Amino acid sequence: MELRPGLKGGQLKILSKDQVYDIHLAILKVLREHGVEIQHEATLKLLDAAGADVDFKKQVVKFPEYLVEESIKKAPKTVRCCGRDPKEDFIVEGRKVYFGPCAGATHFIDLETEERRFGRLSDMANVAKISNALPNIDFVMGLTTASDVPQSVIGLYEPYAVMSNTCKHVQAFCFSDGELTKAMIRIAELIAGGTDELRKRPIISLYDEPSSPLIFGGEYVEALVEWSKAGLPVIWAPCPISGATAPVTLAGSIVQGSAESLAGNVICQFVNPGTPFIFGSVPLVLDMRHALVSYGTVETMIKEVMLAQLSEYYQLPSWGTGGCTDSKILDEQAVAEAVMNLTIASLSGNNLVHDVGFIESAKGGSVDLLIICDEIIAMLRRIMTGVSVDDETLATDVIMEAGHGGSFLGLKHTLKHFSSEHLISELMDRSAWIKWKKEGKTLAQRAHEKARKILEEHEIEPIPKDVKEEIEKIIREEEKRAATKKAA
Amino acid sequence: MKNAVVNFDVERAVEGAKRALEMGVDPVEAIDKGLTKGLRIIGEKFEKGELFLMHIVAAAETARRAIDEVLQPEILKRKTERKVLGKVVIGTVAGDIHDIGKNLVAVMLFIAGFEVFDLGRDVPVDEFIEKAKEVNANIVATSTLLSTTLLVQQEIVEALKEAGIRDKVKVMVGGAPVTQEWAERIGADGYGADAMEAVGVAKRLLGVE
Repeated sequence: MELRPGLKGGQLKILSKDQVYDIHLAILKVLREHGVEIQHEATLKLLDAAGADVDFKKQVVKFPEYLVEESIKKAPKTVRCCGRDPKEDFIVEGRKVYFGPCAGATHFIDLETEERRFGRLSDMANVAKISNALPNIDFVMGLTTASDVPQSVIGLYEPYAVMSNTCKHVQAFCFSDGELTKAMIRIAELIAGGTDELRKRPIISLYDEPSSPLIFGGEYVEALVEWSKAGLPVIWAPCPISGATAPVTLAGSIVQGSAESLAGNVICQFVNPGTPFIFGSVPLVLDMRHALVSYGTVETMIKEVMLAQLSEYYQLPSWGTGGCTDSKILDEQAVAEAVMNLTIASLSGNNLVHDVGFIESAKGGSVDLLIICDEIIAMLRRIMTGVSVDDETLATDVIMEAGHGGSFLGLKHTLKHFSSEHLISELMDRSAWIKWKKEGKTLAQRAHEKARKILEEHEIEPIPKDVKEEIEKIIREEEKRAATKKAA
Repeated sequence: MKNAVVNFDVERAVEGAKRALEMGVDPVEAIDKGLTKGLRIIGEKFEKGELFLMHIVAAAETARRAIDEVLQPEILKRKTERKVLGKVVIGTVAGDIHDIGKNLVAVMLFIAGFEVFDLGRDVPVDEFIEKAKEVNANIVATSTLLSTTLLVQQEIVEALKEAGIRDKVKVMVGGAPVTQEWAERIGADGYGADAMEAVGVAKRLLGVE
């Protein structure tokens, strides 16, 4: 069966081989001499038994080199991410690049009023549906967070809403402790058709994060452990903020973020050897004027490339960031930053590029930006595909056939090769002034119209009714459990 | 001491504070005419865009060390009081360990002339209340990054009511998922979208602008 094709990335290198090795040595040093605070007793015991140096009182774990390196070897080089529809499956490996939105932004640009407001569950469902229709979006999260569901079980409501509205691979954004994670896995099993079916065809992966610098929160580790037990793909990617929660230097912040990520991999591989692990971080920067995190800076782009080179060195699949902006609305800055960081993300070759469609430094989601990014990714894909150079494409006989001053428009060669050699843009305006003036629409307006059209016309294969009922029962039970837990 | 703050020179600030005391300068005066002046210069340069956040943090740390290590103990001994714009108890709420935003607000408030009691992160509701009572706080400021711990900010407002001190303190809320709308909904008095705005809000709430 044909799979979703990955964009061929990895052409841009910033670090020399020696520099990559120096960064690796620094990562090992941080893990060996400084360690990570892990706020989870069972995991401390596990790592103690595995040979790590554990201070149970301080909850600090120091990792000998061999544990880190062995664990890197235990992680698979190839990770299969599946959709509810097998045609949406894709293989994460090498320098194949895939794209998708993230979740968790508190705000969302309303699709009707275009006003900024708190995100809702229905927004996430709409984002999933639109992502399903966009040809260059490979994996799906809901772009915002649901302010209108009980927050205690948000970790179930959100992925379920997304899975119900897309046939593509879904990532669960972690808001969960161990019990909720187990419930989420049960839900995914019901949708996949069973435990074995889900292992064979993981239709969902977990996006989970430590807290920089070097703290692994208890509930996040619980989720990581449960997910690893199930053998499903896990992304353990911190958000080190240069100058705030990580060194201001680019190399230093990559060292720390990578140490955090690789320590997570040690946990995964000791819980369940062979757990599909996605390495990386979201290498952010603190804006020193406004005291806010920024997503659109060149430093983040440089660090993207550094991370990709490290992941290449480790032969681990990697997490990437792109298609996002610090701009508050979909304006010139938004598109400029999104184009630039998508381009660099592609050239870096990080495998799973998330955050597509984020505005306001990941505090807002814009479907219109997501749609524009889809088109930009199509262009990047075309560029990275390269050109074919052979007798047929060199076309010397065609040049002669057309003759001096002749036209190529009517030639069979044109008819034959046009669609494979040229990308037709749906959103970019290439019309004449007169025609454009009559319609007078901007790129953002055209993107918005496309969003509305998809929502009206696009249909998603629904999850069977009996499965839905069972899932909703699980969510209700977990809601009750969370309420009792809170009361106690 | 003013120059020590402007040059982020902790050693010189601490030495300067000691020398001032030896010379018979009142510690409150030393803060006012020395350290605070330095902080004001840094603050102005930051507002003009000539200096950046890390300069603010470094200057605040310089002043804080001179106060904590030398001047504050002397103030306590003499039973006088520092002239401050107000007392702020601040912390990241229970269930949340993200504190970088809270730390920045604490620094900016300090620079502006508030006395700041930073409780750290993952702070239980009761701790906010106890500290507010203990120091006679004018403001309780709570921060959260997670949307799931937003509700704790509301619990703190309720707990202040139960403790009978809600009318004595102003409540400020902040953090990535927090909005003006949320602040109003839970009955908080003020919300700042970033650390600089938080200072303006604090001043406005206490009428010390």
